[in-house]
Parts: sequence; structure tokens; C-alpha cells
Amino acid sequence: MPDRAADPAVADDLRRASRDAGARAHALDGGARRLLTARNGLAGTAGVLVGPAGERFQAVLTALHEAFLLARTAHEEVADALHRVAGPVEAEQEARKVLEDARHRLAEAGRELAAEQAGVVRQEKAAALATAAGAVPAPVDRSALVRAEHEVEEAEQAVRRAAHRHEEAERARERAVRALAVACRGAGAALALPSVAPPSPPGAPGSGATNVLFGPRLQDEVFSRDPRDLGRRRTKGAGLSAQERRRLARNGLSPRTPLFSLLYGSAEKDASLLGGETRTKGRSGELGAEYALGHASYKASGGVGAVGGGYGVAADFAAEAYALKAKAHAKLHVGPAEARTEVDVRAGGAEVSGGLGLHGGPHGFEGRAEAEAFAGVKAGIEQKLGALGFEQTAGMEGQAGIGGSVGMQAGYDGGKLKFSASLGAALGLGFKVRVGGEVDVPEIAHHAKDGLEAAGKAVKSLGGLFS
Amino acid sequence: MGAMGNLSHRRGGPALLASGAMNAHRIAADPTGLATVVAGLRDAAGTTSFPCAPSAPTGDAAADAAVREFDVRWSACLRVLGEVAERTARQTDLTALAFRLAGG
Repeated sequence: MPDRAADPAVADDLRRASRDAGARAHALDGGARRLLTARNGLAGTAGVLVGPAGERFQAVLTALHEAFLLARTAHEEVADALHRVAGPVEAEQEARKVLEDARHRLAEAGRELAAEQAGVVRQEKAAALATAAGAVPAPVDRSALVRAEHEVEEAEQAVRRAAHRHEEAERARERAVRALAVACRGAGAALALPSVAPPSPPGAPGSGATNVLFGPRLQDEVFSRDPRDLGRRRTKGAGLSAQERRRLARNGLSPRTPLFSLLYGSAEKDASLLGGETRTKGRSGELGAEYALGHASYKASGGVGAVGGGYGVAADFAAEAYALKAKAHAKLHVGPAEARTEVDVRAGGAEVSGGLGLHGGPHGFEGRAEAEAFAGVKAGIEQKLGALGFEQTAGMEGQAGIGGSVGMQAGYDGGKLKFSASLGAALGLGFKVRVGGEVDVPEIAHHAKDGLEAAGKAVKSLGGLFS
Repeated sequence: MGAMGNLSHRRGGPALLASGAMNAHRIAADPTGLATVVAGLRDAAGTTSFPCAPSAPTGDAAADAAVREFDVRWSACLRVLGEVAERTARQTDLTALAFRLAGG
């Protein structure tokens, strides 16, 4: 035990700290009950929010409820431990005072005994002198000495009793204080809170999983991956699932963006009986091919509302099923230019598509309308060429079956001006053509600047020839 | 807008939900009920803020350090929990508003 000469512990302060922790536990218990009520309100057929969004909300509320219960339990334990410390501290302090008093009494009794012993010695010396002088010596009075000796014995016994009691009280105090430290450390270890925003299962192609996204991740900013790291570590989306990243890429939401994205959603299924993919990369190009037998796909998207930085309306739908789907591509880089050719074959199946988009935001705008329906066999080739900020796309598709398609898209996003148009029809034999382009204004400006600098250098070097 | 077939947004409520009109891919909500959830979340968030408690030493340095660490860590943790509850309440509020607009 530490030196008790300057014992800073005050039992009443410890009891007050215990009451404070108990009050916290009580308040947190109330919070947990309110969360439970809120969660129960969301759940079941009588719930106020139904669907995957409701399930997600419910999971969040369940995790929050568990976190509140954990906090309540931790504070209850520490409140109990603090309360259990106050009594032993008080008892040890009282026992220490009793011991100090007993020691003080023993010291006084010892001094009195010494004084009585000196008095007796003086009386014995006087008696000896009187005897030597032939006088009758006065009798030596030892009663006070006997009383003093008795007092010392009693004081010694009291000190022994007080010391024993103090030792016991000190041990009890040590036990209680150790228990408090253990309770605090244990409650601190319980800080590994449950994840409040459980990650969504990935909707990997082929897995057949369907996920409807709803709203933002609620606390990916607040809760870091290691909750014991209590610093407010912003994840900036680093902890997002692949699906959520796709969603961010699609509608421009960041985890920190306050949003009004309720009506945004996505459902996706993708499966095939057999499939494969191969790809070869070289210094100046790439070759790749992929195929799928018994391919089936279903996609849906949603929109409506102001969504992050891309305000507007959007809707999409796609469903396709083909016995065979195969695709091959070749890419070639030559200096600043790039060319890509893609061949796409689909046989023994059908597809329908839809699309409608209108976005406007701080970074640009986009308008899009597409519709397509087809059943039969088709094969197409698409060519893309790009250089110095310009890119053009052209595609041609031969079709055998029945179907029709029309689509237009135009937009400006982050300095890129984009446009595309497509038209197709088949009744028996048919075709589809697609053209598009992209103008990257910042890149063109960059190349223009480089060109001007190069021209300036050339002029300077020419000037040097004549100087 | 065929894409929205699986993403219905309409004013919901127990009657609608119990009617079996919903399936796993549909979304429906009762904005009034959501407002109750918001109130519950805000109440819960309010229970996480406490005044800083004065220290109560025990006379043992190790135990005092453990108590201090408990206070510091849980204060931070409760602050985070409060923020989470408040943020969730805001999101729920926006959800209720959006459903009002969508179903209005």
C-alpha cells in the first residue's frame, strides 16, 4: 500500500463518483430502452419501414441498442466497484486513526512509566542515604509505578489489537481497490463495440445475390474499423464494400455527403451455367475474351430526388437471357492515341432494357433516354479511337430476330462533353448502329498549353540562330 | 419507369404492410411512425452527454489511473455513440420527409 501519511482518498468523494457513474448507467439504460422501442417500431408487419431498407435500419438500431447496453453495464460495474471501495477506505482510515491513537497512548504510558521509574529510583536512593545515616528510611511507594506498568501493558495490548484491525482493514481496502481497477480495465476492454453498420453482402456476379441499396451508410464516417481507436478517424469510404463503392461511383455520394437519397436503389442478379475469361497484356496493347453459357442477368436502378451532387431523376432496367454470350476485345496504344475494337456475339436469347436519366449538379449535367427489346441472335463490332482529348466511338451490329432500339445521351461532366446516339431495328434480318464521342476540354487545353510552350521554345531557338 | 416496379415508394403504414402488398424488394414507410423513431433516437442521443465528473482518488496510483482511463475512454465512446444516434435520427428524419414527398 502507498504511504498513508498523505492519503488523498475521501470516502464521500468515492460515493459521489459511484452515484455519478450510477446516474450515467441509469441514463444509458433509458437510452437503450428508447432504442429498443424504436427498433421494435421498425420491425415486423406493424413496422413503419418495410423492405431491405427497414432491415438495414433495424440492424443499425440493434447494434446501437447493444452498444448502449454495453455502456450501461460498464458504468454499472464501475459504479458498484466505486461504492465497494468507499466503505473499506473509510474503515481503513478509521482503523488507522485508532492505531495512531493507541500508539500515542502507549507512548504517553511509556513516558509516565519512565517518570514513575525515576521517582522510585529517587525514593530508593533517599532510603539508602537515610539508612547509611542511621535514620529510618521512608518506605518506597511503588503503587504509581505498578499503575504505570499496567497502563503500558494495556496500551501495548490496544496497539496490538489496533494494528491487527488495521492490517485487516488495509487488506480489505487493497482488495476493493484492486477490484475497482479490474472493473475499470474490464469495462474499458468492453469498448470493442459491435459494428453499428454491418457491411452489406457483396452482390458478386454469378452469386445470384440481390441487394437493394437504400440511403447512405449511416456511420461509416463515425465508426472506424477499430472502435478501440477512439480517435475520430474518418474512413473516407475506405471501409466501404465493393457494392457501396459502385454506388458512390454511380450517384456521386460520399459517406460524408448529407443526402436525400431515399429513393435511390439498385437490384442486381447475374448468373451463368458456365463461363470463362482470358486476358493478355503487352507493352502497347491488350487482348481479351470472355464467354458465358446459359447467361442470365437482371438489373434495376432507381432515382428521383436530389442525390448528393447529382440532382435529378434516373431510372434503369435491364433483363437478358442468352444461351451464349461471347465477347472479345483488342486495345492498342500508339503514342497519345488509343484504339479499341470489341466484338460481341449473343445467340439464343432475348433482352429488354430501359433507361431514363436527367441529372444536374455542381459538376455537370446529363440527359439520357434509351429503350431496347430484342430476341434472336446478334453479333456486333465496336471501334473506339481517342487522342489528345478527343474520342469517337462507332459500332455496328447485325441482328437476326425481332427487335428495336433507340437511344440518345448527352452530357457534360467534370470538363468532359459526351454524346451518343443509337438506332436499330430487326424483323428477320436487321441492324443497329451506334455513334458517340467525348471531348475532354481540360486535356485539350493541357495539350494546347504544351503545344504553345513547344512553339515558344522553337521560336527562342530560332532567335538564337540569328543572334 | 418499369425499373421502379421493384422499388415502390408509397405512403405505407400497418394496414398497407399487413395487407401483404409488400415483398422483399419493395420499400414502404409510415412517415409518422418514422417521426416517433426519430424522437426515440434523439432521446437516446441525449442520454450520452454528461458533465465531466470530478476525480475521486482511491489512494492507489494504479487504480486511479484505471479510473481515469475508464472516464476518458468512455466519455469519448459515449460522444461517438451520441453522434451516431443523432446522425441516424437525422437520416431517419430525411427518410420520413422523402416518403412524405414520394407518397404525398
